[in-house]
Amino acid sequence: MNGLQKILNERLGIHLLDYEVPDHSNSIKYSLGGMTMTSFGVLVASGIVLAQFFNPTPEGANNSVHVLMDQVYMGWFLRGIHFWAGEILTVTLVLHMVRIFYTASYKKPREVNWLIGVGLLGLMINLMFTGTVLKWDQEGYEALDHFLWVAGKFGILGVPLTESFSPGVPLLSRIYMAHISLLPILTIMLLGLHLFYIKYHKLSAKPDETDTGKVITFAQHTAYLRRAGAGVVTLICLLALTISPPLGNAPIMGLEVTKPPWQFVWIYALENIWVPSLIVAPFLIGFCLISIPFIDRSPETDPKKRPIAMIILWGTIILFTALILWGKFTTMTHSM
Amino acid sequence: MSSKTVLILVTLLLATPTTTFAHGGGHSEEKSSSASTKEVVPLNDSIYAVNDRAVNDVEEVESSIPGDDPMGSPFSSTEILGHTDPLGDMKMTGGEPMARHQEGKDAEKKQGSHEMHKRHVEKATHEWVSHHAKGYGVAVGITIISALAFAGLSFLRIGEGSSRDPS
Repeated sequence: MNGLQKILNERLGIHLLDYEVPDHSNSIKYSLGGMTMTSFGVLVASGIVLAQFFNPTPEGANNSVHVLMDQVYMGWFLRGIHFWAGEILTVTLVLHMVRIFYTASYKKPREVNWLIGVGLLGLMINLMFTGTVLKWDQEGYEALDHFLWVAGKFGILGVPLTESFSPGVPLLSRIYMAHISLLPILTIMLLGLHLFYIKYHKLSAKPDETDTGKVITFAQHTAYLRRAGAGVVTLICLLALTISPPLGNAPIMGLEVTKPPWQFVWIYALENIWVPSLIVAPFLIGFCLISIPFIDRSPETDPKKRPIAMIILWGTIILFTALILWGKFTTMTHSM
Repeated sequence: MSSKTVLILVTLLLATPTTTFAHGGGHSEEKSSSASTKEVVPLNDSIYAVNDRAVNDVEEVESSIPGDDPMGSPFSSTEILGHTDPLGDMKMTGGEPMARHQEGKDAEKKQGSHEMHKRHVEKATHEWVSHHAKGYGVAVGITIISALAFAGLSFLRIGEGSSRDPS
């Protein structure tokens, strides 16, 4: 250890990162959470710059995004990075959850961290929803319209989520506040707790017989995460450089002609079968996710010895894929 | 807790609102209201504000047509102000307000026709980024740098080391 390293270690406590973690930590499967965090970091950084060009009023929102895309130097690239970071975050987040379920990492003693993860999922969904609304084109307007319909069904409980709660203040401005402060703050707080419990309970062991029992230091794992993060950033940049995110003109009120982004299109498909599913489905899914560690309490983690859990996992994946494809490629007939 | 302490705490608690109002109550409210009358800040004071001019144009047209006042009506048979054509004073800048009004009427006619509505909403889709976009070269540079960083880290595997048996 050279002099500089010693000085930094003494002052920054870097040596505390030298604790042991299983060697399978340095694999894509066990780094999906880290990749999700990288995307979130990119979203925060690009969001801070984007906020400088956004006018969060119904009159100016859509126009300010058009100005950003067409007139601001590299504005199109900045928005592209923000958009594609959100898309990649969705993919890595879902894959991370699938891995956790597959390896039964939600089981004792990690139930609380699973619940924190479910909370983070909820926050991410809210961030994506508010982000969709903020560009204030037809898609954004219709997303908000659906949201207000749901809020209306909750009677007095839904009032804080509507415009009537604070007359004179545009709902779009309040959604902007939630998108740039409330939701990110809650996300960062929960993320801190999530990381704390990962450290406290240690990374879960491999569920099958292939676990070698070998270890690496956490610092070595962060080096791997750094590489994975660089890969994620490169992918985000490449996508932003080639494909521009969709942006329509200012909305025409009262119309329902667009489809939501693919992350929400499954609920759009369900809504076509039964309109109240717009309310029922999110709560049902949330309830199921919260219940998992309390229902599946056996210590077994090997996927081959958990047939029911695997049927549920693959059934859910197939169901959601089918709903997304159906919602994306068919014409819907319902109206609110 | 003794009764004396409770009495002191209650007194302090009750005194708090009084102190608050004494320092920031009615006086400051008066000041702020007078300040707001002096300085009227436009709601859409922004370079991104859209339709500001259009809204003003509509207001001008509307204000130039006296509404409920029959004496001022352009269609009044009583010509107390002479033979000047009141409609001649209307500022029809670009004819935009009328065009918008017509659009509104057309939209009303089309109410209920879902297919007709679809024609008016341009569906937002993913598009290929143009090579002429502002700062395209710099964006390419950033992408190349991040790709090089990823390639370098993948090749050198700095700090990743190798696994060992637990200590």
